[in-house]
Amino acid sequence: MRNLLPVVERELRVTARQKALYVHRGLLAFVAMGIAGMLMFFMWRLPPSRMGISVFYTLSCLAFIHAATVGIWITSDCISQERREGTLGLLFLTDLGGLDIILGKLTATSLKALTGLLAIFPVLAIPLLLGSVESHELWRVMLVLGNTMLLSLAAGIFVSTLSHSPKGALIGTFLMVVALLGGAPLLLWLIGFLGGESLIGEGVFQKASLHSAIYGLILGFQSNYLTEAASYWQSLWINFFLTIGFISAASILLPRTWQSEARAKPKRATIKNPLSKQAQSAQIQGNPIAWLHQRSTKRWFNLWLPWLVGLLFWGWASYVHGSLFYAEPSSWVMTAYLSSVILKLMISSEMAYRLSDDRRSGALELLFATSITTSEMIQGHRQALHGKYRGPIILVSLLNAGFGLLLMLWDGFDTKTTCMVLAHLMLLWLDLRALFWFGLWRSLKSPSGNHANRTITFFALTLPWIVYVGMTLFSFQIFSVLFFGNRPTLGLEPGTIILATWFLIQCPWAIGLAILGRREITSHFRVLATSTSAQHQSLPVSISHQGVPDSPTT
Amino acid sequence: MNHDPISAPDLPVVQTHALSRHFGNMVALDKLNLTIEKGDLFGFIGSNGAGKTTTLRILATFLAPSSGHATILGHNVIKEPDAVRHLIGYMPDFFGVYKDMEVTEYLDFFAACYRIDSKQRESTVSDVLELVGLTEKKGALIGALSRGMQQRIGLARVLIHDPQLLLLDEPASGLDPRARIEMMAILQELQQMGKTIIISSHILSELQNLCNRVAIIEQGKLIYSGDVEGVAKQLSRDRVILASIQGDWEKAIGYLKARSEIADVQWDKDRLRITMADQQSNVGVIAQTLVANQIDLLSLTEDQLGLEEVFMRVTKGDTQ
Repeated sequence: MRNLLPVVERELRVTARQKALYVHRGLLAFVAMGIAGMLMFFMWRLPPSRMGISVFYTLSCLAFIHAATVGIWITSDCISQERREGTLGLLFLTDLGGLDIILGKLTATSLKALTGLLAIFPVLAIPLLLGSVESHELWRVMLVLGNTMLLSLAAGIFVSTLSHSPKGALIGTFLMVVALLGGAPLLLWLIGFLGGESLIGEGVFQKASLHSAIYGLILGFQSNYLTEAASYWQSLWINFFLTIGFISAASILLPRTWQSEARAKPKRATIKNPLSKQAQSAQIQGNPIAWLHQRSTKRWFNLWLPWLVGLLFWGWASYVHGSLFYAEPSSWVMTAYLSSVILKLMISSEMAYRLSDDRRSGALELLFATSITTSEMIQGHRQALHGKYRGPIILVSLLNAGFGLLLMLWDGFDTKTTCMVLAHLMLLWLDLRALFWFGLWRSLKSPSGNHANRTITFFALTLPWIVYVGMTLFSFQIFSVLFFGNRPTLGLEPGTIILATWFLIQCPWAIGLAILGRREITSHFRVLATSTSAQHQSLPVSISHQGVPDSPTT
Repeated sequence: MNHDPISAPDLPVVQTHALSRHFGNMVALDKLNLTIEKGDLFGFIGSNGAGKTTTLRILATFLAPSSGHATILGHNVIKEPDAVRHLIGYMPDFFGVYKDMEVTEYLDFFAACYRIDSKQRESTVSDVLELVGLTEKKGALIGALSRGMQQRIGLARVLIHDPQLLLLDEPASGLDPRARIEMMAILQELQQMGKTIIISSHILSELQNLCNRVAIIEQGKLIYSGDVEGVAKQLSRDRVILASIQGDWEKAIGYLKARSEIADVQWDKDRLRITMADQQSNVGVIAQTLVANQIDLLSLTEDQLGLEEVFMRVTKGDTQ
């Protein structure tokens, strides 16, 4: 511990020099103000106290999502990256202990998250000025947010201590955060849904929820706190002790695991569907890039696991609930939707890591020293993606088409349902194209695979929904203001308008991303592939003369 | 497009004319003029940041120059990058290997990238593995090999399509003495096979023995380009002669200093260190003077500066 302060000081100095720290803080404050302003605009007819409480609840929930997920974005790869790059061992050559390193990392990474949270705080306090909430309530919510943020960061560091690959660290932290936020209640619900109600005693659900920070946040609001104050504090303490537990476990494990990567033997990339030598040779001859990205079979289990779990769930739920489950349209819609989301997430993740590691190691640059052209490179990636995901893509397409057909039959081929099903199928196809082009571009452009994964997931899969929800609310409010509450319907039902808005936003979004990604990849592939991430982030790049890049070097 | 160098036998392999490259305000290369002939083993010498890698990357078609032009066997690197890529083998200062591949798998993959027919690939891979001395490691995983062996695989990779010109950026960096000597032996063998090789390295003593021509570059500017033997003569300011004698060395110094052709004489350990007044001064005056004064002259040799000494003398160590 005596070495802790110099480590913390060094880490804080390094973090304080990063531009991202200030951008992140400013962006969060801007978004919080924008949301608060929009909500106040929506509710201009309401008295200030009611307006304030809505702003407070909305911002609290959004700030909570930020606090709960910072571990995934910030700490999940902080130790594993040092291990991969071989710098972790250098730290252990000094007098530093496991706890020094963990706390140093935690302090440095929490600075970014903490300043982000502090940027939201003044906006969150506006309802206090409006008289909507009491100061005690504000501080209780802030306490939950701070506590949740620390828990998320500590969980990320713990997973990072055990991980080697960036992808494993990211997915591991995501699952850990999900488990921490609602693992036990979710499990109990699942047991109950699948016919195990008798196994769950009275009050168990509430007790199991105490570990959940979501539950703590809900109890922190004044209306709940008045009756459940003890549970609020219990929840807070449980989360605090979980944070301490993660930090302690990481500190103990780190000195025992940092050498494991160095000791690990290199693993052989196994060949998919073991081919004869001639067949393999022919495959390489066809398109070497396609062969390169299809040769590993390590992902076979991961590729089919979600569908296997889904199948088991469907089978068991149908057995327990009978026609109440399998003949229920909402089951079909949810299954079709979830299956397409899972497929999109898998492809997004696949694309994110496809080029980033090769670019960092320089392997991609070596390929461009050969006779391979950019179009052959892109074609190879497309072939590899098709080869690897052909099965899941066909499965999900059939699922969506099958359930869509059932839905249309159920509604007697009602126009709205038919349009919705066809729009969904079209969007699935468009999204897959967008993920390929946008993903390939971001994978090449981002400094790391995890960064690319976050960017692709946010821009391709999350942001269109945020825009859709925001625009729907905004347009309804605009019409409400302009027409004094008598919104024009254009002769359509509200449900139809909502569906049309969804399609009209998602469809151009996917097309736009695909066009953007395609344009960038086809014109800048060689430039991006042959320059390091630091270079093409700090200096402009352009194409000069027939495909010879104009990027800087040493 | 004709990639065949035989069609232009008299062309220099590499020719650059006023080649410049700027990164913002920084001048990485400043009007570089280079000519490298077929069969040259050309040493490219300079401090870190002097512009060696920038030059090699321009020649390898990875980077466009800000001005000037470069040709490889008559093909302009900017206008005909595809033709140039067939003619060169570029080995950067990093490995860039796929550690989960076997050695033969890796080379087979790159051979396919060069569009070598599947029937020829197996024999080509065997040939290059034999050339770099890794035949017995063909089934090994690349990640399990030593740094020296990975470097040799890198060399095998650049040879896979039988290029005319090899661009090797620090090929011996980080290698142990044995691996370095082996690497240099392979390069000499390749030169004997008719390959033209440009090698950038910091290990100047090895370049002196290995290369027939060198270029010294500092802050993007070419200081010297020519024969290794000529570098000392051209760049050293003084001509120094070492003379072993038998007799009174103090008297000998006196006699020699009296000659106008001689600038300075020092007793250095067991011999005279004579600095001539200029490069064209007649060395015969030393023998004449000593013999005339009945001092026995045992040997007379010119003190040749090593590449390292020349490099230290002509460069200031400035980097950008």
